[in-house]
Amino acid sequence: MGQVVLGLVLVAIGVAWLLQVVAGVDVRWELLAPLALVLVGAGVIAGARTGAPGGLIGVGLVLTVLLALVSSIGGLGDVPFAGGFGDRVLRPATLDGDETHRLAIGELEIDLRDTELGAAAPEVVASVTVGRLVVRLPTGASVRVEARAAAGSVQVLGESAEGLDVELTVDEGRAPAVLLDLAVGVGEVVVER
Amino acid sequence: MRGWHPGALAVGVFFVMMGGVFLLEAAGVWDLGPAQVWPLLLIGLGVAVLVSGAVRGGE
Repeated sequence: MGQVVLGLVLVAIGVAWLLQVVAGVDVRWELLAPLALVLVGAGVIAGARTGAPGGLIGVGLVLTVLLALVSSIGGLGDVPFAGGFGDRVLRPATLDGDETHRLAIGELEIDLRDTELGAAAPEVVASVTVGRLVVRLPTGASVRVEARAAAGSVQVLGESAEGLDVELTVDEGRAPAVLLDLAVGVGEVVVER
Repeated sequence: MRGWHPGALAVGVFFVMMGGVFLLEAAGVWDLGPAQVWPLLLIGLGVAVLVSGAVRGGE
């Protein structure tokens, strides 16, 4: 029984991972991982009649520790654990309204250098739970940036801060063309031209 | 509960409980902060030990 559950969990994780890599499916790992833990627990209970299924217990312990760490980090600085994994580069052609972008683990780059900005100052909200968040700005466009890191560093247009619970606000004074609200749980925020 | 392995049963109950807690968090039902995660793990562990004790006592 334990082997069946372990096999099913591994196959499900593998298929989800493959779909994400090959077909670009946005797999909600934040739901899949706890669901796998519930299944592993059910498998351990079912196998408890015949003894202690060691393999399943090992997988369950790893999942529990990972989920506890992720949940702790995700709670830091109000950075949601959402948006998947990996490296992502966004180059929007236009920016007319407010946008929100999330990444759980990896690097998120938002390149606005060739973006056509709308008349009303749009707000871009972006977060990376663990990793790096980079925003590249067009020359000539004034911005207001609020950037924070629960643990790590923040570098905004020449100003920088690092440590725990760091925050930087840079307001270029003139009527801003873009408002940026950026956050990382653990990692780095970089805003540059 | 004769024939059950108490330790394995306790671990299984613990995994199901914690999986449920993290699933509800991921679904947005509640918002777990770092201050709540570790006490919840301890509570889960305690419940699992109690279940294990109950199974042992019943044999």
